[in-house]
Amino acid sequence: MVAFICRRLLSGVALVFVVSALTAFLIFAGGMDIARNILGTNATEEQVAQRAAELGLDRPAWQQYADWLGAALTGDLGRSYFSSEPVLQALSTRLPVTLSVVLTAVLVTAVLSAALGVLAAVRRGWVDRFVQLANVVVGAIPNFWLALVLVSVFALNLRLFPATGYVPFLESPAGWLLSITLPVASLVIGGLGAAMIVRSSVIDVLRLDFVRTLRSRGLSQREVLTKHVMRNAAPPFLTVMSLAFIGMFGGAVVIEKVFAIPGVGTLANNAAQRGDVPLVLGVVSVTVAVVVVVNLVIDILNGWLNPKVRVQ
Amino acid sequence: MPMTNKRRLSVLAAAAVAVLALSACTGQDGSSGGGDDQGPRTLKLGVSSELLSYDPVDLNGGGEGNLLWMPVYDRLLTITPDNGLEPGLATEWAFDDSFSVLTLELRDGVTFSDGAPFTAETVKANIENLKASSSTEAGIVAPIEEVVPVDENTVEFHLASYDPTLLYQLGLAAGVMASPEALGTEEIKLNPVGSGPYTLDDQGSVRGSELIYVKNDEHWNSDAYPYETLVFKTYQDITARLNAAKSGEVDGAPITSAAAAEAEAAGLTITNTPAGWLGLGLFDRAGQIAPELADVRVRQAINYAFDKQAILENVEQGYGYATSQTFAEGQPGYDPELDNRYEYDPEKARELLAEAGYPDGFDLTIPDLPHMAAYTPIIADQLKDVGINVTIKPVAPTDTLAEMFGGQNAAFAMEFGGTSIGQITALSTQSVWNIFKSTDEELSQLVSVAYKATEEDEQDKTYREVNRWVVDNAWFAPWYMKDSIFVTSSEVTVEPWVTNVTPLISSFAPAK
Amino acid sequence: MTISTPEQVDAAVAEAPRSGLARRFFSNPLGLVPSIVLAAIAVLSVASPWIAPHDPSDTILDQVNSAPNEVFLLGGDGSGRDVLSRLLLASRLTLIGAITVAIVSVVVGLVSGLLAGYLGKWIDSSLSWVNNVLMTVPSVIILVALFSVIGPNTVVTMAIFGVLISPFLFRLVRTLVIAVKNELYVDAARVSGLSGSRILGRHVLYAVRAPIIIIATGMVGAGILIQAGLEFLGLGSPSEPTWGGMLEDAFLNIFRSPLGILWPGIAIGLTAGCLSLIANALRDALEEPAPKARTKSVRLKDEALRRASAPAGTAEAPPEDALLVVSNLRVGYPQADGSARVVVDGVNLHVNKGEILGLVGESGSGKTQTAFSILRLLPEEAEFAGDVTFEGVPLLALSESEMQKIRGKRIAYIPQEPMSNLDPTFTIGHQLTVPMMRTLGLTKKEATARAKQLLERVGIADPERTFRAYPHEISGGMAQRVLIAGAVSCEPELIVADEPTTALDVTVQAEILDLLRELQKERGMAIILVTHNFGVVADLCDRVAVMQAGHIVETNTASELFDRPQHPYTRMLLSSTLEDTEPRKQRVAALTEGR
Repeated sequence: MVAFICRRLLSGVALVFVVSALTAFLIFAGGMDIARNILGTNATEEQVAQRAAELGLDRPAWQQYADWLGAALTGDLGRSYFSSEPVLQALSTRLPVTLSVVLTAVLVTAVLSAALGVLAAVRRGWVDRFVQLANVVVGAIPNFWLALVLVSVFALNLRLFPATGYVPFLESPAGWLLSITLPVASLVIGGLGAAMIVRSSVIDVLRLDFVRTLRSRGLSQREVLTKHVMRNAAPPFLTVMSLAFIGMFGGAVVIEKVFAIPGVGTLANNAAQRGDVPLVLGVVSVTVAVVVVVNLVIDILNGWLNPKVRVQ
Repeated sequence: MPMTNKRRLSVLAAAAVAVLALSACTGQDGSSGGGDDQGPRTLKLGVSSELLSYDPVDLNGGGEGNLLWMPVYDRLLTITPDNGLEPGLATEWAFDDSFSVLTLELRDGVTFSDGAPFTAETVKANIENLKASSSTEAGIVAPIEEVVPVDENTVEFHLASYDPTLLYQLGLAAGVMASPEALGTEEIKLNPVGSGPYTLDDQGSVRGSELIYVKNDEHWNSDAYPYETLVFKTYQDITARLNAAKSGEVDGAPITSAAAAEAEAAGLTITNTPAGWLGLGLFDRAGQIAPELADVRVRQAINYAFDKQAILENVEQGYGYATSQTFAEGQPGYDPELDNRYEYDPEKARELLAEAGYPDGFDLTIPDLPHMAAYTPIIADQLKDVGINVTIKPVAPTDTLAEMFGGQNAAFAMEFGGTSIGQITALSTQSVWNIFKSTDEELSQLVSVAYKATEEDEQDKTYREVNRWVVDNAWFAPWYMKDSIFVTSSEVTVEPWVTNVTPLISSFAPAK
Repeated sequence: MTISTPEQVDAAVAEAPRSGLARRFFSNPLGLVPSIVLAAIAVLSVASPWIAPHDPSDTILDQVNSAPNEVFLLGGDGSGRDVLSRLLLASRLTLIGAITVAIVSVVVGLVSGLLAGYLGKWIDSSLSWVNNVLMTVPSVIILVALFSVIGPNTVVTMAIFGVLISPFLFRLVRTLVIAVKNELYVDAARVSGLSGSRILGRHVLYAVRAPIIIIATGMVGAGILIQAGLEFLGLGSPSEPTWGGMLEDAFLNIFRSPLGILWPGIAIGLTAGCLSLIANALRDALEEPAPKARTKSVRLKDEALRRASAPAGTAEAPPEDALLVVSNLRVGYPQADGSARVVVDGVNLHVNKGEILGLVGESGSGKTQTAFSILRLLPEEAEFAGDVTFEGVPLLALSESEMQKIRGKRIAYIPQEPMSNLDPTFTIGHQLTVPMMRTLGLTKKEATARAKQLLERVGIADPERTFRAYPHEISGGMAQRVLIAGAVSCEPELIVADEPTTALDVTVQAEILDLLRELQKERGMAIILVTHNFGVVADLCDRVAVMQAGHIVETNTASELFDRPQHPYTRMLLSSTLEDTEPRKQRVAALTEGR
């Protein structure tokens, strides 16, 4: 198991390295007028050139990239070109915001889609039709559009939830819950397609021979379902949840815009539009790192649930 | 197969209902009690963009930024809402007769938030720091050849040339005084070290979303600032910003005209003031890349082509007034007659084009600047009506500034605020806004006369000459003077800052 | 006659994925309607420059943010342009983006999957690694980050997105290629003339075409949503109308024109929804026609099933003291058209105490269905009728919980395929002890001790180790011993053994049969031995029932049957067992014709 985790971690580090290096290289080679963007409307060409020299933007792309990499390896992701805020600090204030929204959304999605999927698989009937319908409908609705509708109905008309903003959990747990309810709801509704995966994997497992054999030994359907079927249906479910996490992490970029949530997505979007290279690179590297960690957790869960995985 | 975990599901459903009910309750509690917990002494404002850096060299005079940095930085002079000047860190100021030396008497006993005292040496350090920087504001203090501390509380600016905008600028970013210890450090970008009426609460603030300022009771003009705490929340989108204002999450916020009716309906108070002119900038007046624009008749034809009143009413909901000049009403140099100089007249436009030798019009490319996205299609369409075939060139947000100031576009949609003297300065070949470095001897003559005017009457007269020349020669195609709109809740009163996007922070007060 | 014979149905199912796919897809309204809608969108999109009521860049100043009116049917946008015309024109860029995603992802996924699967070795491992990398990358964040380089370029952005999601296809293709390749090695001798790679390409491309369409449809839908999201963030094409860009404009003007967010939302939803429905319908069309879900299956309600043909074969009266009596048992499966496919058609048989009854027939003859009926372990959708009486208890009339008390304790089951009948996620010990605890009420300790004894009894060398092992850690023969141990663990009176040796190799087969015989003697159990193998029957059975096409065609003692087979089918089975060469299907066809 330890070897398994080590292998995954190592591959994760390589992943972070490759993705950020690729992004870095593309950006450094992209030829944006970063200095002009920093200095704003009133700057003269001389001033722009001067600032570019200060930031080392006039050097070849590979050299800038090498510098960034060297610093990054020592844990220094640099400072924002614009605010001089250390990138790590910027991320440390934004990442918890996004993670608290996304992880909550993933958990709610997991619980709901597992419940609905199992019910649909076992009971069929209206739950099944609902799950199938939901799969089509939520697959078609852009979640940010859903967010707009939720805001106008629940925040502006019914005034049940705040329309915008984010309240840190430590400041006020109730306020936190209220502030993330609508964003989480928009993400969760978009993620309910996972119920369909649960449904089909449960149906698949129910068709497996050992289910019949276990029942032939006098076990109740309930016990077979809750212990054996659930555990066997878990791996595809966990895979879907890890994909849902990745998807929601991306989806949060758009959702954060609607709800004015100061998360990684807002940071990434602003940094990208501004051309704040250190921030963009930082966001990409840290996001990939988060994904690696989440996938690792899911892999470990998977290994714990399914002894075969541990061996492979 | 019969189902067996029905009970479990119903428990789950009950739990979900309980959570919803709970959140609904706290929701009502939260919204009713939210305004009181911090007391009326807290002013919460929504802004559309974050302030990226507190480094004095990164500050500039335009836009919302003022609202965010003015609380922490005193300037040498203080600007009033009607653009008058009052004592700031300088208590008295005077030019010598030749306008080559500006003498400032400095306020005594001012200290910065790091404990450093404010002295004549401080002024010298700040001005020199700004001059040496690549900041956009460096050009403003460039005429200050030397800063000479006469004594602890007196400083002289030795000027290479007289710039009539200098005093006004010393009330804005160019006059910002920061602790000399902090100048040039990376740290000051994040944490301002000024002597302003407020200090930044670094611990409480969350950059990019919420900035908190606490009152500096030591401040020399502390009484002018009624709030103990200022909170600035960033909402990039107008929808989020208005939602925040409507739901009471903020006491005030700048909004767009599109949101004004909704804000009014929600019981918010609207404060509006002409902030700047909006229209089409015609920059290639020598015809370097668009030869047609070299002909003044073509530029005039373009001016005639826009149905300014209709655009104003439909796009801005009438927030503003139609005009053909760049000088704002009530400002020196404003000429009421020029408002109607180019009344909408497509027939006349076609005639002028024909006279200029383009009876069938011509092709013109304008960039689709993201921040002017709503206006560019209107420009294209209205110009098409008079025969000018406009191609809209896509622009990536990251390329916006390069497209504007890189000399790649002969004309583009623009919005330009500021005082009359600001309008005049923008005509100079030194200004970035003079993109193709257009010059004209007559204009230069008029400008140099206007620069020397110090008396109010004289200023009005000479500025008016410049104004008239620019309008007659159609250097721009203004449509209207656009209002800035600021909404406030019933808890707050505010006075607008003429020709600016947001009010001054000193203009906010609790409602009686 | 609405009932298909099992052979016909089997043939139909086997043929279905090939010839009937398009027909089945379009006969499903959930496939047809979205296809028509999508086609209409595509046509509108291509024709948009000609059919748009207004020039999409024309501005009418008093139409800025207007509500729907007779000039602008869906109202005007923030610049006074016609929303309807822009909506129509915007579909072009959306479709271009969608097509880009489809092409790039299919090409990249297919090519890399083929390469990885076919070439293997380091190419496979490196391509697999790259694809795993791509899978874990949050595409939106990457696309946002790369925006600073790419700029607002829909085609390039969507092409990158296509690469980012190609792993979904890569995995599928790679797995298929490897499967086909392994098959090729086995059959390499038969392959002549054509090179391996050509066969591979042909095989794989044939096999993946339907999944590719399904997956690509899903990816295109995702692409449309992502594209709209990026445009909504302001990262889309600024000069051409786009749905996401229109949403952004509407979002800015939501207070003046609240309906504005509706139209692009509907356009995006409709397109993506149709794609999603089409993918679903395709998947359905590929699968076996879904049986209608029935809530009640115990009582025979289906008209077609009731009208099943009269019981055939010998209806010899069972003795009074028979352990199990099956009479006139019918099992049917509802078909999509409302008829029933009858797989067991009036079966009569009985088992005496301590007797081994062989139930013989070809696959598809209904013998396994008969066995499952006795245990009441038929699939949910199955319908059945007739009587199964076990020691006077009518099994088919019992409730599920009553039946549960019979299973394991009184009637047990030995399956055919040992590995698939053990839950891979639980230890052997767990799977043995829990049923004993439930049915016999043993404590965990008692059950553990007993399980280990049983393991030893069924001939497992190291019961301790096997007890702790997971199914994948033991061999097939051992697994079958474990399953036999499980079946006898609760001292049943009857064991239904469904081809207990078929999946094992020959030497192990004999050992398992020996074990069964010993256990049967030792415990006096009755066994119904379902098999197609007359060798096994001769070895073990007291009596034999021969099944063909849902009927019992002959029942007799084993010796009588071998000596004097009555029914031509029995004779055919016996002779083919001896020769074991001639293709079976032809014989059956000949027989059926001759009947």
